[in-house]
Amino acid sequence: MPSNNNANRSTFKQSQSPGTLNSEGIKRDVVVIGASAGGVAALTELFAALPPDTPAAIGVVLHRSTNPSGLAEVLGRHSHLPVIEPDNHNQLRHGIIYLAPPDQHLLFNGDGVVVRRGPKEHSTRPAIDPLFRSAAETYGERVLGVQLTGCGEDGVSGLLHINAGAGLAIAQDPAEAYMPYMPLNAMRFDDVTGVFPLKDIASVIFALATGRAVPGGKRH
Amino acid sequence: MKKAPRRSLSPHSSSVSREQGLVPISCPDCSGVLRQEEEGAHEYSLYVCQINHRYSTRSLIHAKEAQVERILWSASVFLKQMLFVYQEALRTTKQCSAAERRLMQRRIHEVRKQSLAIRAMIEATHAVE
Repeated sequence: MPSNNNANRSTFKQSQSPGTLNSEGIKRDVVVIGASAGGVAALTELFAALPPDTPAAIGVVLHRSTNPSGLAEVLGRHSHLPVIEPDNHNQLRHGIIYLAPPDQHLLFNGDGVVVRRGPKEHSTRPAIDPLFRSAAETYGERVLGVQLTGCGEDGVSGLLHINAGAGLAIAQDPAEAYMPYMPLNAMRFDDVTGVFPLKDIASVIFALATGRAVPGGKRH
Repeated sequence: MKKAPRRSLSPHSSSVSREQGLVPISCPDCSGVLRQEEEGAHEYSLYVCQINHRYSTRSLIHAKEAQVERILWSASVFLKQMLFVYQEALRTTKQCSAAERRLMQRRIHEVRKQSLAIRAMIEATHAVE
């Protein structure tokens, strides 16, 4: 998948219709998702709702221990898309969910999908920020960042980078999240473009990946 | 591969992230020098060390609290080991004068009190998570 070389879209936010995401019709086909406490249940529900023909490459960081586990298998049990823990230098492909392996950061950079045992962020590895930053730096406006349930502030800086790269940032509605703090911190610092209940996020991802506009969801 | 052009994250300058300079705090992961940066319109604070360990204010507090507890337990175990060595010295050393034995016994008493004080410090802490 080629990286984004388009012109600067610094006026992106201002040009949006009020309450509408992606009125420009850009295909947001690089989706990066962060989750922590409550993430297994949230991701299982989200993956089950994603259509099998979702035209997006999806990267996921769920805070997890360093021990090997069957997490990819668990999350993939009800998913129409394959959920894999990649090795280094996988090509980024639509229709695949790339899950950060234990004790490795997952990066979407110019080399494709890369895993690195790089410096911990917020004392954790895998961390959400490195995935969000790398995707923003490589794919710019094509990136959709999704902040789901969890504690702490991992993902906040990454969503700021996605916004700076003219991508879109959305969050799970904290009122229904198992742990509201990650979505709340995203709303506090990131000017997220939309806030949605979990049951709607799969359809929002699908619509944005195909370049459609989406009603903005609950505003903060 | 060429990167996508990006808007500035800094609330104050055109650089991607304004470096606010070094802060008198070491990195909890590697003891390297931390610098503080601010990102975005809401001046989100990040602390970044020389090898790119990164912390928000909250995650830095969490890591530093863990570091303080680790160091206090470490002090506690050193005191326990010192107690053992003094007790062994008293038991095995034949040539100790009465004055030396009194000094060692006084130190054993101190070490026991210090060890209890450190444990009390740890148990009485209410860290903000």
